[in-house]
Amino acid sequence: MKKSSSIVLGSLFVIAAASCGQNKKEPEWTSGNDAQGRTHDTSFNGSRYRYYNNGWYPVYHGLICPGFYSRPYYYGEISRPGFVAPMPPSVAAGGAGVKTGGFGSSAHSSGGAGE
Amino acid sequence: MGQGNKQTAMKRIIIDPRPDWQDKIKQQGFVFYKGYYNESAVYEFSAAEVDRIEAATTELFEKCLAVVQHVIDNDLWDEFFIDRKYADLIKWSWENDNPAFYGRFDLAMNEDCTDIKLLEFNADTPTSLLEASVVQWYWLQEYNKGLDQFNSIHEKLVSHIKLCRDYLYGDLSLWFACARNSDEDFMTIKYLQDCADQAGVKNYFLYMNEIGVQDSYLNTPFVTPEGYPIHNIFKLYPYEWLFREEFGSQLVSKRDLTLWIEPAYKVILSNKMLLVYLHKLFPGHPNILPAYFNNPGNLGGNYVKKPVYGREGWNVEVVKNNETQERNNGEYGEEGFVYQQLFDIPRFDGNIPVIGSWLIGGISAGMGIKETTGLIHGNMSKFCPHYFRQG
Repeated sequence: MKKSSSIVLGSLFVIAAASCGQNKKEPEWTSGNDAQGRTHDTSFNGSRYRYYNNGWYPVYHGLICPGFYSRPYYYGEISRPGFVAPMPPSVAAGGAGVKTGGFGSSAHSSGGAGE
Repeated sequence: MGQGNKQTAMKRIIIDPRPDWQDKIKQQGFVFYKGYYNESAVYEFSAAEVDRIEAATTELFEKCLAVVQHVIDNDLWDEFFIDRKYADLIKWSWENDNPAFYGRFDLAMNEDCTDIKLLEFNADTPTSLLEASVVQWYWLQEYNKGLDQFNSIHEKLVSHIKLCRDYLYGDLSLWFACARNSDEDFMTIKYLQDCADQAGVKNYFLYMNEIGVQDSYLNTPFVTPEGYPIHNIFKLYPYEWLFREEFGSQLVSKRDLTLWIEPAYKVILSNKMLLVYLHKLFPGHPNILPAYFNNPGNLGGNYVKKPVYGREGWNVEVVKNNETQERNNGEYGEEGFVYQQLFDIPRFDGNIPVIGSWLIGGISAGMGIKETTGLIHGNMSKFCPHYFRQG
């Protein structure tokens, strides 16, 4: 078959298109309260997760950051032994001793890297 | 060069752009269209022509892979201007058959595509992806749904990324990275992330300069600025740049901790020396133009001079009958130049089209057409949609 039958673009891609050219914004934090102002938390592997928007998000300092993740995690994922969710950028606790800037310098004089 | 439209199957047809085309393509993520996208013309092909383009793409890819094997077998690192400290990494990525997503051949053709030649292989960091995969497809749905288009790029990307998931390291999440300051690179990455989403692969984004290392731990993968491990990463950033930058050597020491896509052997395929070795290994091949390093050999004063490491037509010179026809200045060329035989692509309404023929997971997957009124295809070329007629 040579022809695409259907192309559906995801909502995150559309959002990216709308925001292209703007500075990368920090995703927002929320308490994740439900309509009654309650939260529903669980813990696995030493990490706390909060139920929000039909799935689970890691809790940091009592808040969650849904905008950082492409989707919430399933219960089966967070309960898996050894599962660790990535930390949103503003949670720098694990970042001690990280050195950045070792890649990316060649692009400065050349604009994009694509061809 | 040929003049005007020829009475052959391949045609350039002037059409009316959709009245609201700018809004439509922006909604499809094509935000870098200004001065680049042209839907006031469309290229029409026959099914037989498309079959020939597909066959040439498959054939050329096989030959390119043979060159990689030849380079590795004969340790031709110096000939390809690749630092020998990366030889083992490149060999390992090749022998391990590490995941590769995509590549784009730029092909020249005569009027009916019975003569198709490779101009170059954008194997490592190809762009023009979104417009070939998505934008021209949506255009066709409005123009004439009954027509066909050589384009299954999107489906093949999603299904191939799904396949690659089994080869990912660690937490099976995939990071995507590109340089700052390029809307085109950013949206190409965002589109690939969308494909990863649809393939069920967890994915995240960061810029190249945000990739970090934890100096206190030798046996750790590359990390985000927050210290989160990057087990897998797709980079829209060429290996020749990665290799010369500060963290380059850590690509070697961390090869079992962070998997890089595209794989390191792409540095051979995206190098213009590939053209020289294709000719050396397969002289007289119908899809391969004669090419030589640092001298025009027996090209009879008709050649295109290209830097070994070059991008978007910079430092390219077109010479015909020993006279320069066109030249782009730029900052490339310190490694030397490849001289490739000039191929006269016919003009259509004064425009010279080049076929960008896509490979997804090594399979021919579709094409996009770029045209220019000049002789050098660079960042001034314009993308036009295409379709083909059955029968």
